[in-house]
Amino acid sequence: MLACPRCAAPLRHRKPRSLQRAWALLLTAATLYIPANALPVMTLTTLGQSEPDTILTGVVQLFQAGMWEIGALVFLASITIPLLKIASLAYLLLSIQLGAGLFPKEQTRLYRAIEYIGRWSMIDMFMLSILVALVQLGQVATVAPGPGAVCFAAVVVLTMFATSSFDPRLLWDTRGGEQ
Amino acid sequence: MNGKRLAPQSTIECENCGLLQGRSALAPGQSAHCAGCDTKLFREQPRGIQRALALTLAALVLLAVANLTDFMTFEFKGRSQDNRIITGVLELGRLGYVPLAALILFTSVVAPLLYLSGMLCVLASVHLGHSPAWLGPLFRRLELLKPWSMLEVYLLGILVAVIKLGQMASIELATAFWAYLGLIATATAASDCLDSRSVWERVRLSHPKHGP
Repeated sequence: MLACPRCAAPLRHRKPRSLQRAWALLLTAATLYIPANALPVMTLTTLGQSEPDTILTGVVQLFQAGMWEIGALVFLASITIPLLKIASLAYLLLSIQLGAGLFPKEQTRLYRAIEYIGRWSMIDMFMLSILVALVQLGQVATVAPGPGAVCFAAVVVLTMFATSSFDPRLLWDTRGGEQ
Repeated sequence: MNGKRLAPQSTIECENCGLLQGRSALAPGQSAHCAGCDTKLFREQPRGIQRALALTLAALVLLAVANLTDFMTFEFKGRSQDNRIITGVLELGRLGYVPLAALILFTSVVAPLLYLSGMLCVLASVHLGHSPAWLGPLFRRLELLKPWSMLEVYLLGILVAVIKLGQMASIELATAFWAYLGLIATATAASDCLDSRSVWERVRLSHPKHGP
């Protein structure tokens, strides 16, 4: 295989096995999305009382406390973005497999958008790590992570890998499919 | 002294749609977009390499301060607790969430550190007009690493946590927080004033060879 004389990367016509890889990573992410939302991401214990929180109840709490802006931000980052990413990538993959993209220009824009916003879903995980560190006050209050957090982090990482293994140039190839 | 351009490219392939198109000269600050899909192809940034080099150096200093000093103090019912960025990672690890701790450590500390120090090597050698054999391969890997450096995302995570806790406890932001803000400003400015093509054009071509 030829290597690029400038950066030594192997030269390929298109990203190798792009559709297969993207589908495998995407389906794994979609499956893990279910426990990521169903299981608690953290548990707050204050004075002996435990309150497990899923991603959704965490957002609801922010709304109930009147923190609309932050609630909307977390809702956007933790619920809307992962769903949009999974749905958009599935749509792009399907439209390539059912023949070339119909709207390659718009679809390329969509691809670039999901490539850009993917990392913002990590907000909730970073917030969790800060809460876990800050709220360790023995009997008074503690925050512990929950199994949902691991699934959620896996969804973010897997969708990022799925996005980067997708080759947007396939949208422009006249007959779709892989070379 | 600016490293000289070794091989100005006359055609550019769009990374998103693969369209090959001619490269035209641009005025400073102008950018060229793909005729097919409108992706930004490159931007003419005067002294981009020097500015990015200075800002990267500043960002590395701020990264050290942000990680080595206290981030904030949390006070709740008479108890107070100091906190650093690494505290959350260690706590998650202690509670048995090792993969999650590793991911957070990587995206908030390791990847930014690797990215910024790698960029320092690349920009410094380009600035000095050197083009060692590792320059191209290193710069390609740094561009792959870039999305995993999640400084700005981490900052939003901090803000959400602070606002969430703000109602039940008092939180005092310390040195590392302000260093972190500066770190994000300098790192973002560094990548804004650099067009990666201006680095690529100064990487010497090796003789084409067959890989494995």
